Amino acid sequence: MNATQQHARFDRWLHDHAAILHHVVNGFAGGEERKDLMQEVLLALWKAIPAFRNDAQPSTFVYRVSHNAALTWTRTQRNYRARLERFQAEPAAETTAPPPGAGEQELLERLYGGIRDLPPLDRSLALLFLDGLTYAEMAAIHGLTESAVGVRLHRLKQSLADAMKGSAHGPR
Amino acid sequence: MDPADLGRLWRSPHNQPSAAQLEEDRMTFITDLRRRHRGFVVFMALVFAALAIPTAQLIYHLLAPGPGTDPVDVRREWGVLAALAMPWAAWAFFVIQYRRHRAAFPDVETSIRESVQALLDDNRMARGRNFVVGGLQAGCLLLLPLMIRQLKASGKAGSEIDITLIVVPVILGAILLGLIWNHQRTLLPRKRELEALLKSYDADPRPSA
Repeated sequence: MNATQQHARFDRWLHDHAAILHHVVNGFAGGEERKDLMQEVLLALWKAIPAFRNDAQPSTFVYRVSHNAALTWTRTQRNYRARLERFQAEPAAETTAPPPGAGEQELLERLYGGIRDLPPLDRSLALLFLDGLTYAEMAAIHGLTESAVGVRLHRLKQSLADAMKGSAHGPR
Repeated sequence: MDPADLGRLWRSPHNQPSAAQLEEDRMTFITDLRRRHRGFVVFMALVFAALAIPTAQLIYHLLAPGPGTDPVDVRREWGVLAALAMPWAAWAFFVIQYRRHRAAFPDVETSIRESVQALLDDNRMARGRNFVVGGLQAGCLLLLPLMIRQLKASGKAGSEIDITLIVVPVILGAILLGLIWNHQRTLLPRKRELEALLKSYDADPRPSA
């Protein structure tokens, strides 16, 4: 594959699978770190393109590469320090529920916050689950058994429900 | 919030990237890709020039020694050649590594778990490379007094060359400190992160009773 073909495929995938990248980046990084992680994910995708064989679904490929990059991402010291400073400067996190009628944006922030609080592997599984992948697809991407995915997701759904408690729709 | 609400929220337009943001990310990436490549090429060119100048001088001296100057006698002055060969070996080593790194891409047939295992192997190799470079430096340090003694014995250098006994160890010491920093602050924490991630794959996923 030459550089022009690599560029063309990169642009096409970026357009077609932007939501996958958006979800994984927000699920693994908050604030300014999102930009760093997005660059890391894009670099991983760029480097992986020559390895793509047309017998696989591009979306599965993008999931595998982007989640791999996010899971093994190393934060830059600069951003890590900035994050620590922000954390130390901030008052204790608010635990009260958002006001009724809180917007979707706020609910999404709350959901992403809940996802980011999970251990890395669970974070990835939660994102794949929300994106609607089957247990078999998740198991293949991660190298787990389907039953292991099922057990983990059972626990994860409860964690996500806890994160969304007190949302505009109320706990169920 | 029930699963249906969660699904609706997840698929809402608010959870989609904007076209403007996407374009900005793309442009930043392309610029960064070019900058990384250019930075490495400039660095390697500078190192190449720093090595090529003394090498060219030596070759010139071998081929066309000045009047009253003996050509280099390899049997008598092999320390100089060996000391010069080591940085070239290191330079070639890094160029080969970089080319391999650029040509490498993840095996998409493997799972993320296997990729993490491969990254852990890469980390082990990177730590091994640090030891190789450290060993080359130790070799240079050991050769230095020998090289100076040979040059003095052949009458090609006087006591002015003794300054290299201070300058070269200081430079090599600085490089060694850099290697130790890289090992302690980058490679070892990375190893621990990857090991923890790999361990999470093997952790018992059963919910606690």
